[in-house]
Amino acid sequence: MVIFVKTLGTLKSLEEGPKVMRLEVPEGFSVSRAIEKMGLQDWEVGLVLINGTHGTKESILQDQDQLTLIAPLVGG
Amino acid sequence: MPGFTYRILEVDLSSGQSKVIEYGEEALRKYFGGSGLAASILLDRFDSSLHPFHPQSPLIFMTGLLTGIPVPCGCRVSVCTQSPLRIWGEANAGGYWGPELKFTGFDGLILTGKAREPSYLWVTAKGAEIRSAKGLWGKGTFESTEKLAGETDPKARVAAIGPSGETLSCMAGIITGGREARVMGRSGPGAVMGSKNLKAVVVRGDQKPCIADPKILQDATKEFLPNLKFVEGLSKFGTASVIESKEAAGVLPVKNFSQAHWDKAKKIAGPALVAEYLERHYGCYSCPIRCGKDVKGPEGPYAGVVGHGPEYETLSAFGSLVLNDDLKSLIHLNFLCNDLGLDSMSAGIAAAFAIESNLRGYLKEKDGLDLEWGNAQAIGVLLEKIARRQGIGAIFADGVEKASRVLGKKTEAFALHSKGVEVSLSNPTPTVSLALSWATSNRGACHLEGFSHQVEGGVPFPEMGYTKAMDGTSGEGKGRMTALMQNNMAVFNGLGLCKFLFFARVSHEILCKWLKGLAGWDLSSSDLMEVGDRLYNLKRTYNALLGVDAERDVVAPRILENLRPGKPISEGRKLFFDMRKEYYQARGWDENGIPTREKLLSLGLEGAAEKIKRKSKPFLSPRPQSSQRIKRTGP
Repeated sequence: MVIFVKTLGTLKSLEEGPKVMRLEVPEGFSVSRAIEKMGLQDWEVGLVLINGTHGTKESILQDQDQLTLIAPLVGG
Repeated sequence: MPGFTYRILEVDLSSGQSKVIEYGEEALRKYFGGSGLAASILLDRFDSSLHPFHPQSPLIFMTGLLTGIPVPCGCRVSVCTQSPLRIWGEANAGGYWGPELKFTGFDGLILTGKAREPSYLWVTAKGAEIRSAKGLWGKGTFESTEKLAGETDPKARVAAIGPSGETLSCMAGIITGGREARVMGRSGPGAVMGSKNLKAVVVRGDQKPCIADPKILQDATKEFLPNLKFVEGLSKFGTASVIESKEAAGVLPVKNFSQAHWDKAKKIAGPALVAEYLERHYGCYSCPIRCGKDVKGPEGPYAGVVGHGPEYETLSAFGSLVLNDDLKSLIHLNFLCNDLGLDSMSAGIAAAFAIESNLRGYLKEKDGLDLEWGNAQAIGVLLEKIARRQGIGAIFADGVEKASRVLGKKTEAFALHSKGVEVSLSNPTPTVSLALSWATSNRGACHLEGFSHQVEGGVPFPEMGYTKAMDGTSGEGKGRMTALMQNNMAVFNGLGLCKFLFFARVSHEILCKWLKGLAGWDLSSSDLMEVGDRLYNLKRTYNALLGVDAERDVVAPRILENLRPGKPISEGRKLFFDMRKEYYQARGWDENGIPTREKLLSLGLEGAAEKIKRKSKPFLSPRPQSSQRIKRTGP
């Protein structure tokens, strides 16, 4: 299946701007595995949005899901 | 003795007399320093018959245990007093003023009385001298700071009020460093300073505190430094780094908290600010994070002025909150608030409230202002009027709670405050504990007293078992977590440490090592949490004596709606009150939010328990009429 992943607030996305990555992943793929596949460490992600709705790192993704990974909101 | 000087300077501004109060190590172990030690003094002297503007109502500046000590972020100082909003008043700032105060050889200052004329206090190791500031009354903090450093010592540090403090605005803060603008902003301490005819406190010292074992201190710091990787975003882009993330998460407040998203967020975010306007990175005393972003004023009266650039809270307050995406105007409004001595968070909420009141037809008197969403020019004029209590500025000068009483009951729904202090700039929809934190914060709607939403959002607090992001939309377990985080943050206030160390995941083990190095104390994480619990209960007792109870531990209807967007408000209300019920239980308070005698005694607060027992009905002296207050603005 295919998912689309956007990162926000990580140092890389702050410096280079957010990008949307298209990933081909197997069925039953979790958010935490997507974090790993994106080359991020677990601590770099605080909030998770799946199709704009709040999810968790344990959430299982579906085909065509739009996943947004947001760094912990350190700042305000 | 190491760490502290164990001396506080008390100055009676009426008589000019001063005395040194000495105290022992026991008080420091029990309350730490900063707002903890100040709370113990203010509660000891509590007198319900004293209005905050009564000359004998004390205003206390207090350094923390680690203020001015060479540990990361040991820079902060607290100011504590009875807030003009008739609640516990506390504000804190970083920068260099707090360390400099400690270097005078005094841990803190207790100020009572009222100077005969506009004055400033010049504090050195020799003591305090009251000097005339007649020529500065009515002037902004930037000019005042420059002139006072020129009059005293070029290396002196200045904490000054602006016109808003002189006119006793409940949104008036105390600005340290002039254009550097590290601000003691929340809950109106600038007004109490203004009521004492005190324009500024200028400090200069060279007495570095003694440290019990510098090697322990240094080793613990070395152990901590790799954690700076957690805050690299703050170092590069400042607190504004989170604007786009917050927008995506539905946290950025838009149009006075009435919308969840705004497609202009990128235009006012940290990367844009840094790319276009950064002059230099700024670090407070002993700070390796350096989240400050100094900018140069691009236009208008502050063109060419280099100073503290707008932080996240200010950018959202005058940006997304009022639909203004013009970064130049945001830099201007930030400078303006700092110069006028206004808390930019409260001022932004007040501006949004004024605009919404106007557009809904509740603001009958326009005073020539076109108060529309996105009109930054009108907001600038409104801020000037607020600070000087001119025209319609007088309606908003004491914050949105009081303004809503003038404009009508229907405006209460979107007057966003708790206990009269305006909310901070985050929407609690995806981190619901923030609403509880606001409602139960001792100094009014503050996010920093609890920082609970950070734990929900994934910043760990492992000492209490919180190691990963929580379900931010659920209220379950949030009462306990919020209480624990408030205790934890009270420790930071007592230590004089910046709370951004929490973002850098400083452990209690490191904090204990720093205290061991500083003072030779052997403390554990549970000792820290007990002190935090004690400090929180001290301040709550102070509030309870002023009549604060469950009735005031609430948030505005719009916030309740936002807890469960698109659903009946009853659902948000239920979520909120369920969290609050759990919170009171976790705290050991009764169902009316009052600390029980058993709770206070368990924390060694016998004096507080006795005061609560004696309290029957609070006697609140009437607040002076606004006309009386305005009379006191001139020299």
